[in-house]
Amino acid sequence: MFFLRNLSHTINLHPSYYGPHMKEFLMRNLHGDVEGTCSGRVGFIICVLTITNISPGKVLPGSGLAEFVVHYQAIVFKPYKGEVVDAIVTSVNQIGFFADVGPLQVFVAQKLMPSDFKFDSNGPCYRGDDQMIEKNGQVRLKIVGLKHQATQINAVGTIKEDYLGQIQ
Amino acid sequence: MADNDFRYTIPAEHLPATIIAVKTSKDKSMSDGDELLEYEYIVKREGYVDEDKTALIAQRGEIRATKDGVVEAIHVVKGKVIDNESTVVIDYKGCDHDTQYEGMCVMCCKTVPMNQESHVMMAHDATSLAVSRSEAKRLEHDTVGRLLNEGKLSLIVDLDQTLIHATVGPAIDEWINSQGGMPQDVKMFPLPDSSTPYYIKLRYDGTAGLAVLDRERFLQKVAAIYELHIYTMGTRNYASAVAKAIDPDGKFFSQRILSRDENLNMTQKSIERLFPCDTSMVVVIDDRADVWQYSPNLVKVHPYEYFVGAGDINAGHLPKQDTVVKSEPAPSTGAAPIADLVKESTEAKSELSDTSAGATEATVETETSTAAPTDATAASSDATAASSEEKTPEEKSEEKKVEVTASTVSAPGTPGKVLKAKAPVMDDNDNELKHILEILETIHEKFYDDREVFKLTKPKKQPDVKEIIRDMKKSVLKGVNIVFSSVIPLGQIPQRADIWRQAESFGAICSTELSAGVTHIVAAKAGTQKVSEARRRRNVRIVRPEWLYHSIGKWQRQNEADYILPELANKSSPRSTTPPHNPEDEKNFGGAEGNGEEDQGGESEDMGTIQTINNNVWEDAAKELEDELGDLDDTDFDSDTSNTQSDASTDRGNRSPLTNLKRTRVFRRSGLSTAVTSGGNDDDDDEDEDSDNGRMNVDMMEGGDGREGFGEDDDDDKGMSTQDSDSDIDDENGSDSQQGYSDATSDASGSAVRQRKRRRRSIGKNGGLEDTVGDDDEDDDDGMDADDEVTMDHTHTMQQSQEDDDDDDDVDFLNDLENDLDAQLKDD
Repeated sequence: MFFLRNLSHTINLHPSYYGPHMKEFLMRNLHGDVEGTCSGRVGFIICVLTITNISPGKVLPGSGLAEFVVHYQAIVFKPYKGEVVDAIVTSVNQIGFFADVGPLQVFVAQKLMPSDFKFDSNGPCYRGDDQMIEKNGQVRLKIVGLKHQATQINAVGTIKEDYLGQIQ
Repeated sequence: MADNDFRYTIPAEHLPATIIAVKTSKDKSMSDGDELLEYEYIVKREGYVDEDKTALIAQRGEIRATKDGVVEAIHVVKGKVIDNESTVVIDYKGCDHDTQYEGMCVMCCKTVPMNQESHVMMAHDATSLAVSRSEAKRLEHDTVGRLLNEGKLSLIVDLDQTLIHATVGPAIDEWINSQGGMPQDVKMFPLPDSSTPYYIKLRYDGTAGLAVLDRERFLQKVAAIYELHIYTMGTRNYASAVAKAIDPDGKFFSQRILSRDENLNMTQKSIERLFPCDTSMVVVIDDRADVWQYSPNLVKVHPYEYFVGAGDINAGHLPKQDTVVKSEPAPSTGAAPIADLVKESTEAKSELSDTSAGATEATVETETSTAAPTDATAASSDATAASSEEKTPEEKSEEKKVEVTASTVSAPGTPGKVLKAKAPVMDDNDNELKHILEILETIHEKFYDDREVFKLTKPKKQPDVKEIIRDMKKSVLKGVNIVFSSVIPLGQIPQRADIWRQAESFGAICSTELSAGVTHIVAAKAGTQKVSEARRRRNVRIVRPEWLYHSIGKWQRQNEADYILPELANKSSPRSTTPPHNPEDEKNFGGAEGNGEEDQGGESEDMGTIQTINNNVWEDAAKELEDELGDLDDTDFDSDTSNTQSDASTDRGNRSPLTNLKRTRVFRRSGLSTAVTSGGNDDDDDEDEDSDNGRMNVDMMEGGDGREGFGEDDDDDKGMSTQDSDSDIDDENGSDSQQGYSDATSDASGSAVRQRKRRRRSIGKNGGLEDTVGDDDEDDDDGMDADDEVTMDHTHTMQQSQEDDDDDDDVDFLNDLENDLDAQLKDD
């Protein structure tokens, strides 16, 4: 699910950036630092929308760097258990298949596919009565399990329910 | 799985019970021991409060999960009273965590500690997936069923030096540029995260010169009967890129690619990584047996080396290969050697007459090396054919080396004329894949034959490729009892040597001592104690290590006659009275190769001399040779040559070996069939001869050999040869001179035997060669000839063992050298 979240990020700015364009530097740094990252707590930070506040810089003793705390609003993607998402299949093997939901990798085991799905090593793919799941195909799946690590989120999904499976 | 379905009820002794808390919810994932439900029940107790009163006491009980799993249904709510022991309160599904993704069970989504013991990885491209043994078994069972339906087996193939040869570096860039474009079947690609271009050369599968479509044959044919998996020590990116290059449509390998990134072991490969439980239908082809721990499923492939000196670019982290057997210089990964080689080869080419027009690389190579323009084409084409059939890669590489050395030697003589540098340093004639394909087909066929039997008779054992491979290997060297001599380094434990293990896996028995049962001595050189000892015995064959390598490489016992050890080392041996070389060899030799062989023999003797000779001589010869290149005719083996024998033995020696080599090759083609037949008989005769001549041969080699060689080489020339001047006579010349020796040292009987041999040979020969043969027979003066020849062969072999084996390139090259030598001799 996507959220608009207020987040903060601490930036240490090198003295050479001090000056009238300091704010631009901070913004550039912020975009570079946080966009595309993932934390188990927040989810995937997709895009920084606005910077709500930049704290006054505090020069750190010893190094001369200035520390700014930047408060910003960003779109984050945080998967939830039970969420139904569309995904693109990236790899198929006899245990199941992997699919990408944007930055999130989801694994769907064969046991969590409808019982008519059979593995076919030529392809390789899974064939159901009226569906086929192969690399680069699109699937709709439901996330049934999530594992949040410090910088990584992994998910387990299922297509063994109504209206899940290949997107025709 | 029924035993994972749990239906929890309240124990009978607790009835009636009141539910006081439901501590879980539907679909919740629970761990073993988690509390699911709490209830209260009443017990009566005597004397709990008062001695004579019965107290009713409410006690709490709970239902706990007995296994990790998921709650399927809850049939009660808080406050409900249960008074029936058959009332199910909770349906619960246990989970074995059979499949885990990133340490999370894909069924119950519970985080499970990764357990290497109970879970194995099976997916090619993901280390994050692990399955339990039982699940792996189930999956493999599916796979096996599918493969059986399709009539296939599984085949794990290695990339580097098995299917392709890859290299990187600026030197190769230059080389490519100098070629004016990418050579056929060389592909270049950068890896995603670097700009360094990788060059890979696809291995020919014995169909060199054919259209690209035909060359895909190997994979296609194999893919028809095997499901292919790539297993490489390269990185994922590398593996994918190479797979794309050799299989653009993904029809052979699909996504079944396992790279170093997923292997989790930097030094070893394991079939269990892909097939954890059942390896009875898995065959592996790889150029290294050690990384597979000499797995019984492995069919070892001779390493493919196209970019000379590049080695295996992905083997840096692997333990050093056991290179005892190979004489090749240790492959340095740097590009420098390649550059050097290229340069050298260019030089070599330039000095050679350039008959090569625009043929495929392979042919170009051979042609260029042919000195005589006249018959170059014919000879080379023949040679190519022959070589492609007989030559193993080892030989080739060795030959290559020789070529390079030769070129360096002769370079000073020919500084001026450098021809265009379409220089294929690259060796690309190998038909290893053809052998492998045959082997794989046999394995497949046997497996399914066995399976038919299995279906009919239902024996206890399922067919197993391990056993099929083992049996196939064992039958190759069955009954062979080997002793190694100066093959395995002293410091090494012989039983651990690669060659020792290989020999044993092919059914040979290896011993360290020359005991009674020994049938073969594999010796890198003559003159060792074991070889001397073996000579005294009649029934021990002395062969070069190549015999063993080739037998192992082709899964076919090679004819020992083609791998006789050069004998010259005997001079130093104290026991001059004993026959210096084994008679068998000689005989075999004669038998193996027709008249031409005789020539060779003479030459080989020369070779012996050569060994002692200095390179300087060569250089001198080379200078002069150039001038005379045009004059000489190589076309006629029999007739070519004879120079003055009186010249210093050294000179002859130099030149003669080359001649010999060339001839050997040429003759081989014609004489092969003969060789086979003659091999067996020879032994007896030979032995006799040995005793007779023993010393003789040696002598000949040193002094008299030269003559032989000369006589053979040039008919016309120089009268030094006491014998006939006819072209045919070459052999005879040699023999004559030798005769003298033989007379001195040997009895008449010995010579008689030799004569016999000779005849045999002559019979075998074809065409032009026959002429010679006829002469020989008539002359037969000398049984000695045969002997001599044999000896020579040996010597020759020692020097350049590779060349014996039929390489066309070498032949040509040799021709050139020969010419040079001839010229030099003339001058002398």
